[in-house]
Amino acid sequence: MKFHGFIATAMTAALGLGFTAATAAQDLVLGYIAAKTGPFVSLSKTNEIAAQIAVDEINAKGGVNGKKLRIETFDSSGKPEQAVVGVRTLEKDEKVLAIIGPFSSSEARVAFPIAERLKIVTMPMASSAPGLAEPFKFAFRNTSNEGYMFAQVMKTLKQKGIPVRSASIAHATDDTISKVMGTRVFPAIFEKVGIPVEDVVTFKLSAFDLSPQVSQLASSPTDLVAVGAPPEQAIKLVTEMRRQGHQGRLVAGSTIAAPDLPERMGEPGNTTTLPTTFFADLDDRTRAFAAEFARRAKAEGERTLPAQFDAATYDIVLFFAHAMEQAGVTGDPDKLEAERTAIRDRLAVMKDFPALEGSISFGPDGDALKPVYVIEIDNGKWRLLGTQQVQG
Amino acid sequence: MLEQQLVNGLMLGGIYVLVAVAFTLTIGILNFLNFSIPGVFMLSGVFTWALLKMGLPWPLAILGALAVGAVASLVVERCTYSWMRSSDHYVPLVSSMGFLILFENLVLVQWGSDLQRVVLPFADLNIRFASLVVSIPQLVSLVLAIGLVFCLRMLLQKTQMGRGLRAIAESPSTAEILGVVVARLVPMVFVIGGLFAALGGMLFALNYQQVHPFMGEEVALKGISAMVIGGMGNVWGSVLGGLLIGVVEVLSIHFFNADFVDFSVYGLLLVILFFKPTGLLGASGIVREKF
Repeated sequence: MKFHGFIATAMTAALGLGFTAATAAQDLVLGYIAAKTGPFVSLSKTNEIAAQIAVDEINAKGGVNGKKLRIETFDSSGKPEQAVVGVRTLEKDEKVLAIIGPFSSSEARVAFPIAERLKIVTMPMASSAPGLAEPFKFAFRNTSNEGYMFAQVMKTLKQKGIPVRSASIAHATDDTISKVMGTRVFPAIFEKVGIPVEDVVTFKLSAFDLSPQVSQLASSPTDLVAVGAPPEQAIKLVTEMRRQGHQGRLVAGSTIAAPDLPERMGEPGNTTTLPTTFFADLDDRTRAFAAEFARRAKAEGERTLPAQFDAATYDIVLFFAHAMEQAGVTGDPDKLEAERTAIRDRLAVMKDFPALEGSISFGPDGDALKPVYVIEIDNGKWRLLGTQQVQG
Repeated sequence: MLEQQLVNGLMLGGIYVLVAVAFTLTIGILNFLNFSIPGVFMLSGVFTWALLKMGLPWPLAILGALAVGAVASLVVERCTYSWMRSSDHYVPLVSSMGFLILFENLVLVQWGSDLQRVVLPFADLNIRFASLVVSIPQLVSLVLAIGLVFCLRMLLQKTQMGRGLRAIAESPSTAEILGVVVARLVPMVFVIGGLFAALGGMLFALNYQQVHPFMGEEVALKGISAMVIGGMGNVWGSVLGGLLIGVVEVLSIHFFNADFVDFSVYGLLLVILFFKPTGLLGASGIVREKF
């Protein structure tokens, strides 16, 4: 009796496994390199919620080419070496059609060459160090160049008549995008708009005490302090600036674009200004996305306000689905390499795609071209200072 | 501006002092490098934030955070030093490292790895003299650190408990023969050390208005360096080492940049070890002259 029971259980299990495998074989699988911890965790850990919203919406409408869309996730913890492992694992073991992510420029810098060798598209949602995707045919980024983004901030400040006579720069030295912002992006844009840079101070991502840097900045205060760092360091910097009496306006690129930044910075954060590619209160579609995101994030105990990187992740799923539809992707394992290349080819020619963030195309450097919304913190809330439409 | 940087350095050093004293107590008395101290430091800081966020009055939040630190340290003693005393010397050491990782991951699971902002229950807490800005919590931290080290020194030198602890530091087995109840005093060492680390974590949270699961690691290496620079097992050496590292760190940023900090601090450590291997206030007979 026991033996028969065992046989019955084993057969049920085998049938069950067979059924699951058969179902999985019908799916179109995307890989997703998540950063559930690491320096940008406050911006990255909710991206998966947005990706899943997109997948659920697409599947609710019948999927892609009649097949369900599915995501396989690999957590890189925001570490470049793990991002490389993630590309290999998703490509070889999971046999995914394309990869969402990795998140940061530090990861993208090492993930792009591997993905190029393996001939699979990777598309980060946050990496914005200039020119990272340009040398590769399989590298795309649903981000705008930080230089372009920051130029829109300066343009908007000027349009609004806000004083911008002098500037100083504070940046982290042990993170790719932070260093690029501090050493290349900010100096170039300030020079272009004729604003002298009075001082440059540096810090490490692990630094908890920024008082020496702020003392240096406070010795010759400037109208603007441009910060190249993740949100956490920007919060420390602005808190210490106000403590030491520096009233300059904090300006930044998208590295600090956390939707809950006003709340986390508190009163010291007032007037902090930055560019973003997603503004939740823009129209009915963005508001509906924000509501659904909030509902799911609340259930998971996460931040309920969507960040621009959440919206960017949502849009990446839409781009991939659109490219797979256009290319007639079947998910047949025998055609895997050809279908990965077909996805790449469709993405390269995608123009004015009606995405959540606005009308999006990809430039020749693999970066997305999309509208920029310049926002500032005003008494604990984001306020839209101006919108700059796509140029070139 | 240099005066402001010196103030910044001394204030930063105050945090290192408390961590260094916590390390030096267990290594000086028990010859045990307790790697869980950064975890206790972090637990106290995180609980300060969590209890304040829950709406507890700040004195209760502070007491609660200190209590968490003391209890955590006692748990470490029970499960590492006490439980594994007869094992090879590295077993309790590795176990204490396990506790550090355990504490960090417990906080990670509960509150995530985000940096949490501590909202102070006070308004502007700064003293301004001309262009100098001194944070009152930081000033209190520094005074408290030095005051508590003085009290600890008195306790070790003038009380029966202190004599017992010093006897254990010389030789636990001899101390036991002489009637010192080692099993009762060792937990006290962990509780006192844990309280120093917890105080450091709590003051860190109030001074820098930020906590996260890995904040202990940020100060641990500097705390150990302060202990070594000052002289292992010498509590006043820890004070000197902590303040020196704070000032060197800040002046490195002032004169060079942030990339020079580790070079300067650990370079200083190597130079001191090269010329005076026992540390600035350490004697050649390390056990004889400590405390």
